Amino acid sequence: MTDTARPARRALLAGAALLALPACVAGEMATQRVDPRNDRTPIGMGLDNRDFEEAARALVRSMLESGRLQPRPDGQPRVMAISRITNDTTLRINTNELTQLVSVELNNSGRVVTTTAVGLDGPADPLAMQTRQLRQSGEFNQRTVAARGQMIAPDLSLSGNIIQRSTRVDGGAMRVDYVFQLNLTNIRTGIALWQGQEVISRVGSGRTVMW
Amino acid sequence: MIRRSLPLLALGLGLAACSTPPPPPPGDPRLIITPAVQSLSFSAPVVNAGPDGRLRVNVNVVNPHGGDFPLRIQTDWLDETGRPLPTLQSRPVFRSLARQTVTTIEADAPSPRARDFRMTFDIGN
Repeated sequence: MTDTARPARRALLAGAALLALPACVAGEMATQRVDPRNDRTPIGMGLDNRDFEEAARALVRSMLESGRLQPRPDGQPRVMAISRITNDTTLRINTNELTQLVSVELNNSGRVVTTTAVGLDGPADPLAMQTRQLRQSGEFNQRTVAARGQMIAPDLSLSGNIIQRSTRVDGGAMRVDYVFQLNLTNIRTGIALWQGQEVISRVGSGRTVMW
Repeated sequence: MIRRSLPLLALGLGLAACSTPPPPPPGDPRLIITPAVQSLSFSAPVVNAGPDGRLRVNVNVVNPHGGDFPLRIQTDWLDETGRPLPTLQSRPVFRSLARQTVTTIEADAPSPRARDFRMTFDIGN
């Protein structure tokens, strides 16, 4: 082999090795389906779907156990509106993930129904109000258009916080506590009918950074 | 010949005694206890209906070991036709049983529609 061919061969080998490296890393784990009812995949220091389900499960259980969610005087379930849930963590969280789980579970209990026509930042479903504009339209059979005074106002408001507290523990590890707090307020009186808190904690590597 | 085979027979009987299977789980078919947690003791489930008509279940679990024991509990709630109700209450719950103590595992039905349950105990990790 000539002196000029040797560096070229080395460069070629180095290039091939660099190209092969990401392929090896990517090939470590094949993509798999996860059954949410039997999810035994590893956990991280952040929050995943299992944590939201666990928090919602415990909080709804506490709500129903409190005995404060009595039906309305006419026997109908209470009507709940979703207020503000503050994300006070370093994680990017869509708090709807928590409120949806809570409201679905409460709806299934038969004790509470959720209104989507009223919300802190506007209704979750603006169409309910918008379809009232069809009252002026001659194109629609007016008997199929919602009449005035049909909507039911909420008598409960759901608010809360998700709080994160990180502390270093012995051995250089990190402990992270996520505190899920919910309040159920009687809108008529402004008094909290129920308040609950569920803490989900992790201890793991101190080198983990959570965003 | 007989003298030679007697020790072998005794050895065989001894080995059979060593490999005695673990004691059977409680007879209640609603409790499913996986082999990984059969070293724990499970009481028969106590089932009550709350004032709102929802079923409530308690099971006492004894951890006889010298260390804490991670337990995974999954409770399926079944309607009158035996179909599982879709509910967050069926998601797995993880408990760490303190060593040499009794822990009460509680489960509440999500609604009065639940007529029966199936509680599965497995190791937590």
